Amino acid sequence: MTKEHLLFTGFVALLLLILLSMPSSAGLQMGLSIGSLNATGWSMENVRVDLELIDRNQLNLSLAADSFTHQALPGVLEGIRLDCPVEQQQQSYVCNQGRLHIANSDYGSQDLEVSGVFVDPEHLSVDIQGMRFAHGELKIGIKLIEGGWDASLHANRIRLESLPGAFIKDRLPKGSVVSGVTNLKLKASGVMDQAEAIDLTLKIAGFAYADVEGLQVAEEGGFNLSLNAEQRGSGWMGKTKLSVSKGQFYSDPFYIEVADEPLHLQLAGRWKPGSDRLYMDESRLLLPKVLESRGRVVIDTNSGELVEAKLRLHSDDMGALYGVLLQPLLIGTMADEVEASGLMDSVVQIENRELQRFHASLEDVNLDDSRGLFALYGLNGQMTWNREPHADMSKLSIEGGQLYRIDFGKLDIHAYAQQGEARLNKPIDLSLLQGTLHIDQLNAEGLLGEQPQWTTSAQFKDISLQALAEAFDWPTMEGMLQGTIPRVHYQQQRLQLDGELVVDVFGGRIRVGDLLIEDPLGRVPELYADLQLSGLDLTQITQTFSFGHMTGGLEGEIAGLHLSSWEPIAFKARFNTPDEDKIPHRISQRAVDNLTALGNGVGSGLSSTFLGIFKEFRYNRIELKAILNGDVAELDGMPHKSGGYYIVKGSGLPRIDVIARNRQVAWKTLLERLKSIRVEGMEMR
Amino acid sequence: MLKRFLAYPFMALGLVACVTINIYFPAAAAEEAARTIVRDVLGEDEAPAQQKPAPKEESKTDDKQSLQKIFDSPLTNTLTGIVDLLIPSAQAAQPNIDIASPAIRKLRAAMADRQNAMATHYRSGALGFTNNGLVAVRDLKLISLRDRNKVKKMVADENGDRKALYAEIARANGQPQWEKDIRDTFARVWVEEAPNGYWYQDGKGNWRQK
Repeated sequence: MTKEHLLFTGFVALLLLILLSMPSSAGLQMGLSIGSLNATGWSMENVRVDLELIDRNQLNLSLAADSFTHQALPGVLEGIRLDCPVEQQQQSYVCNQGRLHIANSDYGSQDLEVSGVFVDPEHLSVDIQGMRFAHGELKIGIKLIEGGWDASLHANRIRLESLPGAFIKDRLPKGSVVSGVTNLKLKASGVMDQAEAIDLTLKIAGFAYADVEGLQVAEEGGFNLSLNAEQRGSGWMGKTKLSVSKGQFYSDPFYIEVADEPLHLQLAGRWKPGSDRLYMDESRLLLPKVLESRGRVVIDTNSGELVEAKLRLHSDDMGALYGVLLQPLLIGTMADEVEASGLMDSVVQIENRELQRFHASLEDVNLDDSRGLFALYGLNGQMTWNREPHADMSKLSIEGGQLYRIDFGKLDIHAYAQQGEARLNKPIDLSLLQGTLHIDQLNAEGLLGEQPQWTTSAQFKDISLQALAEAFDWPTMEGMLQGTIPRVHYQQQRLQLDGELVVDVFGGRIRVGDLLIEDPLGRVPELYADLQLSGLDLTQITQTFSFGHMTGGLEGEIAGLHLSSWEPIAFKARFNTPDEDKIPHRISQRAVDNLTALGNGVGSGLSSTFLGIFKEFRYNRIELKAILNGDVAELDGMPHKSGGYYIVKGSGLPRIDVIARNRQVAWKTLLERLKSIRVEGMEMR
Repeated sequence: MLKRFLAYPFMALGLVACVTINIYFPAAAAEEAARTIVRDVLGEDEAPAQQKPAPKEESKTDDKQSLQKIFDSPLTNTLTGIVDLLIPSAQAAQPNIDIASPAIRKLRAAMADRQNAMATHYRSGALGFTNNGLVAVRDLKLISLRDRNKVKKMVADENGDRKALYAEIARANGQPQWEKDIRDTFARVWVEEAPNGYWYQDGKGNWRQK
């Protein structure tokens, strides 16, 4: 309360006192005109105060002014007239049915009901109601008691879009649109010009907001907000509760729809004027069906960033958590199309604006990539990551899953994760394809940087070829394979084998060298490799492929193998009988038929000739070469004088040779032949 | 003197020969390939009402073609004719653009499958073709709140496929360095083949409606 204010109030009070203290002064009138009344924060022009004594305890007070300005009010109030019947009650003067008329203001003309009690300049109260404001109505109350004050504001059905710019629009990003209907109750108390306590309740219906780019949008929102705060020492303490009952909200990139169950946010904290830190000692956020978060946070009031936090996050539905909060952040990555379910309970710790610790307990979590790259089922256990070195180990058990359509069984993972590194604490034994994949080591580095990389090495044992063929929709195979993967290195979307992948299969060995897969999880994986085949047993191979019975050895190579999207587009292959092969060379009718078909598409028709009585034939050498370049494969074998080439050179009697004539064949056609195995242009003799 | 006189044509011959055997980006073939793919992806229903004529080759003049003009004189033309006889025709012929690799087929199929869902947003103006051969959200406000992340994912997938397609066409043709030229060609063809009403970015990045 300023001195000028006290002076004016005291002056009017003095007039009242003089009039009402006169013994019999009914009908007495007094008037006072002041050209200009100025004080700190407010001013009035052409003020006139008229007093008319009604009886010993009553008088009429009239105050008129051409204009009134106050630093707390926008614009100028013009044409002010206050009429107030004043009654003396003991030591106070009471006005119960006063009227305040304002001819013009930023809020239009106003005709208000006024009531008040005046004891002395430090003890008075004023209530004003009926103020039309933003298509709603305001009620204002002010009470002064011994240097302190209480104020109340009730706002009913205020339309946000009709509020003067200074209230909302000027505080929002340029071009933003806001609308809605609000009811507000505000109580505040303080001393002099300092507030000491605030109690606010706000209810908004039909809330809509959109910024100019559409990155922050609310539609059909309905919520209640309560806020209580009071001054404690040199700072403030308070708590707030926000309850969103309905609406659709988009805050790029997150979208939340509230319908059946309300979203709750509760905060209790403290703040010191002049400080750039807001301390929320208790916080609770409930996103219905998605997530509940509890904990404490410290917020930088300038940037809005989390400076420190320790939050416990709980989700009963990982699917909803992924859909609402994770997937929007992962759009454009290979993890943006995952179906998830299960429970998660986690603790997140942030210090100095950086994530320091993350711990999660997972319960019956399932993750299934819709693209078919991976799936994990029945995930249970603890995951721990720390920025600083620590001794906490992540222990996860997985009931099963899929990787590139290959099913795998139960596995346990024990690993350490800290900073940008993760490593296995003990080897993993993965059951897949009826065998085992033993992963010795798996180290990941640079996970927090732009170029993460990892290395691993493994051995596989007793892998079923039949299961492998089924997984990749290959022709039926039988048998087992064993092998060693020396060191696989992944960096910058390139998976590279440092050394040779050795596979023991069909009684021999396949060595895969210079293996490189570019962008293995991307849209167009490219695989490059060179394969050497040695010591293979045709008996096992032909049994495996249901090709027809053959005996003998086989060796060869597939050089420059290039797969694009896992389909071959180039290679230079050769398969032949080893020069010093000691295994008897036999080929069945069916195998002859199929080899013939492989060359040209039509079977030999051997069974319809007299040779059909022989089940097997002897052969000297088998050789088949194929060069694929794009869509065309070039076939070759052992040279034949007539211009064709031997695929099978027979021996003994009855002798049978398979000689092919066609050298070029479309790769697509060759694949079809592999499936149907019928040939033209073959010569049988 | 006579030797020196005779040496000049052969020196010129050698110089022209160097120019002739340059493998430059086959703009016309690339445009034909791009148009084939774009029409396949956009589908017949989405074909523009009136097809624009294909831009003339000179609009794609590059340094190598400009260089060739320097030698465009009667003498060098004659020498070039001799060189054409001496050097196998394959070197002078316009190479074809191969768009038949398995990866390209898969990418085309994925893009075509996505097209129906994308078309709704192209038509509304929410999405548009960028001047670098990709797709971008032009006006997020035209997409319902509920669908925004679905559309953003669709755009990310489409752009992933488009980038892979341009790189794969260059790679499949044994010329990875052509990727940018292929992307530029596609950027132009997407706009030319887009139906009326679709939005696209001009060279300066301003959005325009076709």
